[in-house]
Amino acid sequence: MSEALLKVDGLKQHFPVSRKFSVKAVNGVSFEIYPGETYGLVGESGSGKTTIGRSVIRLYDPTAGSITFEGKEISGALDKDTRAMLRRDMQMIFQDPMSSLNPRKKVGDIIGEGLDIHKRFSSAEERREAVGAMLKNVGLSPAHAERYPHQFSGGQRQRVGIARALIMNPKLIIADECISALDVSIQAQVVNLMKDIQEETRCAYLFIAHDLSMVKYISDRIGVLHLGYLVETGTTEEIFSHPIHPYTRSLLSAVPHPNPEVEKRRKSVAYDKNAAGVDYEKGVEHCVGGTHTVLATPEELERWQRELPAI
Amino acid sequence: MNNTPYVPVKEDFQFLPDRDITTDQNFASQGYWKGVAISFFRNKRAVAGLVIVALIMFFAIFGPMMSSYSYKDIISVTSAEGKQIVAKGIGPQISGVLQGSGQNTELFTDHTFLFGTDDVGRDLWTRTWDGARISLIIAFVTIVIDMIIGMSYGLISGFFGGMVDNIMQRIVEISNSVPRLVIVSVLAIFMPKGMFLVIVALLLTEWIGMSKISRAEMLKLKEQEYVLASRTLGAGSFHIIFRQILPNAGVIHAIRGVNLLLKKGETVAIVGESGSGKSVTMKAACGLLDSNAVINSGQVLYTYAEGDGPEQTVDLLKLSKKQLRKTINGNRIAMVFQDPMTSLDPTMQIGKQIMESMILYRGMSKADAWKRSVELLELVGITDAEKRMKNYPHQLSGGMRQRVVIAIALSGSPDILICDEPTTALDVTIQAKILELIKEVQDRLALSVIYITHDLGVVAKVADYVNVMYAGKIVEVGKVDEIFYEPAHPYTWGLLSAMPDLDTDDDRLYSIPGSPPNLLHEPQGDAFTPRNAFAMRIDEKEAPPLFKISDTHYAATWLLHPDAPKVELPEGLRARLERARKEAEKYL
Repeated sequence: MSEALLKVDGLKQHFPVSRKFSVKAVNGVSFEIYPGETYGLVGESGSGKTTIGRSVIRLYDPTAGSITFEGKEISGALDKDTRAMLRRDMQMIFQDPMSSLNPRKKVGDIIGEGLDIHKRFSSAEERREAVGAMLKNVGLSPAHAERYPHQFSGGQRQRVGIARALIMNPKLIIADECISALDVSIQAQVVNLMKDIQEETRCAYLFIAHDLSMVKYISDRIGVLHLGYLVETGTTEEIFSHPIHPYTRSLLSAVPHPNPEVEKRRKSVAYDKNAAGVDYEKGVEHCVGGTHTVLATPEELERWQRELPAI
Repeated sequence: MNNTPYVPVKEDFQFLPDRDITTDQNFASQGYWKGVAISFFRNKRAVAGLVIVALIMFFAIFGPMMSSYSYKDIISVTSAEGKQIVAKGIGPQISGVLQGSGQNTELFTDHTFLFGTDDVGRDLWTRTWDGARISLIIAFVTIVIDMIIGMSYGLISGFFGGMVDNIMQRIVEISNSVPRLVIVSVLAIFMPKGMFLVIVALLLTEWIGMSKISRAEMLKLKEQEYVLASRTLGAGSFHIIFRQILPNAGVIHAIRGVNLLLKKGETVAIVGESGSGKSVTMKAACGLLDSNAVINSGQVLYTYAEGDGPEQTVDLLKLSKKQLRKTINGNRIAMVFQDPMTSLDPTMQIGKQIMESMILYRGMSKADAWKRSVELLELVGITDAEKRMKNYPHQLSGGMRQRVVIAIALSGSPDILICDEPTTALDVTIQAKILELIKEVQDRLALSVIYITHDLGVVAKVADYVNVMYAGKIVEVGKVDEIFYEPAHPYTWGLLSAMPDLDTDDDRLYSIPGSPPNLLHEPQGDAFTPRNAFAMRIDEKEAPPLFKISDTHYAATWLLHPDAPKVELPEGLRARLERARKEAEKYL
């Protein structure tokens, strides 16, 4: 296997609220992303998935742990070259199509912002062509560069957000819940676009989401987050066909199927961490075959594997 | 709109050629400043204020020129006996001969002092406008300079936060604690009295207010995603503060003819994407629309019985707001909204919020309302209900808050519960629980429920009947099994296909190209035509009526007309529906 593009090791992100109390959003998360693949990070609210995305792209300063990108350490203080590399080769697409675009700027300026900051072009003509090409790439037209965000629908704005990230030719794109706020049919459009772009540019995605069915469709590998801990990871196939951790199982059981007769009879499986007596701090990563790992104590692992029901 | 049904001809049923929809010109473009201007001029008080300010400015500049006196001149009048009298405190009208005093010795007759003279004999008209001019200059200079200083100070302080913000804010507080009068007095010791002194004194104090406002805005905006996007692109702080953050309103035909039928104990789902009109339909029925909404036609007939009394039917659209409130709101028809955080009053204990409507609308005593509220909390599955009564919304999780919202909705013992995307803001595991809860409550209380949602999974779980809406019209309606196993409208096909299938590894998700229409202009023909892969000529001309498929299943598509060509379902969807039907057969 080739060298990992992004390696996150023992990442912790704590936010101090007062002198005695801090919010422990991320508690020792480790995973790797290889070039050209999509890694799906799944979790519900409060799981820390957005925090991980923002820590990786250094919008936050990690409390502990190391993040390595393209072989360079980026979790500590950044020197000028590393910072420039980071701001070029790693980009982010945000969740809210309404607020992720500056309402007072034209779309062409929004997309070209990266080019402007890094002085990537030598003439206004070149810049305009680059922006126009990018707009066509994401399924809009070069004429749209003169318009303002409020003149577009949610799905189109999200395309603008994608264009903004893409124009820097990044190696890794962090997609932070970038389709959650869109209508179902538009979600499909945007996801298809992302897949096309990946085929063309071989960029990697860190796809952060809570919608398991979409994650299954787009991801090669998946990590399941709960309360800041990575409780289970593996390929999409491994996670969906035999999930081991009870949280993963409850998550899978809660996904509604568009099949009325089946869905009306299904009852979701509940998982209460405290009632089950599970303490994530005590758990250790166990490899259960291939790349499939579960966070558990040895007793818990044995118990859960015994209990494996058909989903 | 003519009521005679359209009779199609053979050419109408030709398929339209492939269209390129990515460059759709769908969006109303109204510039930002134009929108601001339109809103401003619609507000009568704003316009009145603008007129008054303009008038004052006009006279401040030109007023003194209209009079030949300066603000210092003392005016004398010659009395009947020929003596010189100073014209002190006279009114506007004076007749007789007068002479100016001082430098001004011309004679005037029948001169009118519009504002009269003051006690010393000076022309009040000139003095008023000269004074106004001085005030305006002071105000203008002070505001402009302080705005620049104050706003920059606040923006910088707010943006950097931490120690920088700490120090800068302490400076603000210290400066703020010195009264303006003290500053003026100190300045007056070594500065000459006059306009300049006042300006300096104001400059030293007014910037504080501006900095507080801009700092507050900055704190709010700096977490906005477009700012974060700027940072990930590598923008420096100055660029972000001054280029990103600093620079930073027609009749919509939302519903175009909807017929809905809800029977007792049934669950009906209204499915649609944004702009379909699904929320507006229900809000119209409950009298919750904004005051600028216009209802052109239609009825909302609600049949109910008071206790054991006879059944009566009212048209909800014809009732006045007061009548509506009395008959139904909160009592017979209750609504559960999407975001529990904004549906609950954050400053009121949840117990009080549940009790409130019972005490106000049903005249219950406090003790009875309290007991009933605890019962309701237990009904919606909140443990330790009595203790929870005193909790505030922020002390509860999202799922629990939504349960409280449901409890409030149920407090009026309604016949109908309308849930507008009740679980969209919740995690998927909580969503499942809330939906199961609503079903339990519904069974127990024989409630009818209307779900408004875009999530087909939710619909599959809860609905008996489904209405699919697009661009303000119902395009397909039927029993839930009919819609999911035998859909008939291309839009429904598109919706079903766009959901990723957990059971297969599809290579590509089918997606409906284009976006929902902007309803500023009423569309001609079938609104779905631009995105419809099966569109025919007739779709551009005439909107299709609802065609009957079975007693319960109707779809508004010309494909169901007897002369229309037979169309096969897209292969991916056909396979998927086959699989779904097979799975369902195990239970039937």
